[in-house]
Amino acid sequence: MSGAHRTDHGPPEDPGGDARPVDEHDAAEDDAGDEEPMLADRIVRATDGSIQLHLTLRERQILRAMLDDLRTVLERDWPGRDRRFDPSEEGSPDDLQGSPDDLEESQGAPGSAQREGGLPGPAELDDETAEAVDPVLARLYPDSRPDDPGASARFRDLVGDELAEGRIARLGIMDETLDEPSIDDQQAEAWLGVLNDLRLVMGTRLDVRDDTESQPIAEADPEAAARIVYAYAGWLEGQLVDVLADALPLVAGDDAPQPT
Amino acid sequence: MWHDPGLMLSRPVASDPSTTLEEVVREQAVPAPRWIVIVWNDPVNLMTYVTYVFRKLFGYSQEHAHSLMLKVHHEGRAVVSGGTQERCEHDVSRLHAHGLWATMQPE
Repeated sequence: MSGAHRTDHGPPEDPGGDARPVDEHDAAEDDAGDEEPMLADRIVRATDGSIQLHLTLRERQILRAMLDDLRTVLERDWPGRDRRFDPSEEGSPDDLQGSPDDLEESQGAPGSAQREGGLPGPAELDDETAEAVDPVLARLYPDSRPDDPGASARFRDLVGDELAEGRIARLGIMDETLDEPSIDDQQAEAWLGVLNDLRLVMGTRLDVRDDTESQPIAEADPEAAARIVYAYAGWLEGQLVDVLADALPLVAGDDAPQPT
Repeated sequence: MWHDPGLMLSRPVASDPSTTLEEVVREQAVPAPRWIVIVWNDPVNLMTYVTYVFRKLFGYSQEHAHSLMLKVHHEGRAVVSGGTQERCEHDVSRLHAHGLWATMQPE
């Protein structure tokens, strides 16, 4: 798990360029040694209850480019979807008139996805000729039953579409509100889900490990720009979590709010 | 908080030859098989985010959600909920929608 959080450190570099000036008092306190100064929070709860977005134009541009990338990923099928039974792709009655040779040829075509009228069994999933699952999609749609590939496939059939549609819907909400000065809690929930999806995709591509964030980004690293954007998204997400967590109702076991 | 998963294991199994078929059927029909939901550590999800998701989805207190998150982080996995198969499938799908790496298994 990543400990990246605004109270730990800011992004390694300000990707927005023209960020708001750092408060001088905070900078003086935080600037011990070579520590980078803390950047001002971008997402804060206003006194009227709305959630203010203090994002620069360049930050919004970077986020929009990230949304476009995520949309491309989400519009691909979730793992195993192409193996699922689809009535519209069943052979028409005319196919039955084809010669047995034709039938055999079409079924045995190398590399063609097998479309059988049922769910793939464990043997079929384990078949080494089966299409390799993209690690990014595997992370977005994890196996629910690692002990039982057949059950995992059935689970994906059951909830895969709903998961994908939910992800695309919240991406649409963030896209629509990206240029707004403020958002409400429901929209902030959508932003949080999208930023987390973005980081899952980027983190998987960058092969992020638990200790990655404690290591400096090398200038020669060809992934340096992607790592900076990844860190930036985590920094923003931490602020969203703080704002939304403060609004969760207290339950038994929570400390009562301190009287002021 | 869900009860201790270990408690169910102490359920006696009918091995007495004098037990009637009806008694066996009744005994085996009463307790539904119990399932558990496990969340696994991953390097991407923020610690504060995981704690937030546990509070939001399961209504856990901040303290309990935080300790569950730490268990996932330090031990690699933690049981976060349990119950019927349907209930666990529901929980797993909600955790997946929130980007957590969740699995389920019979207890």
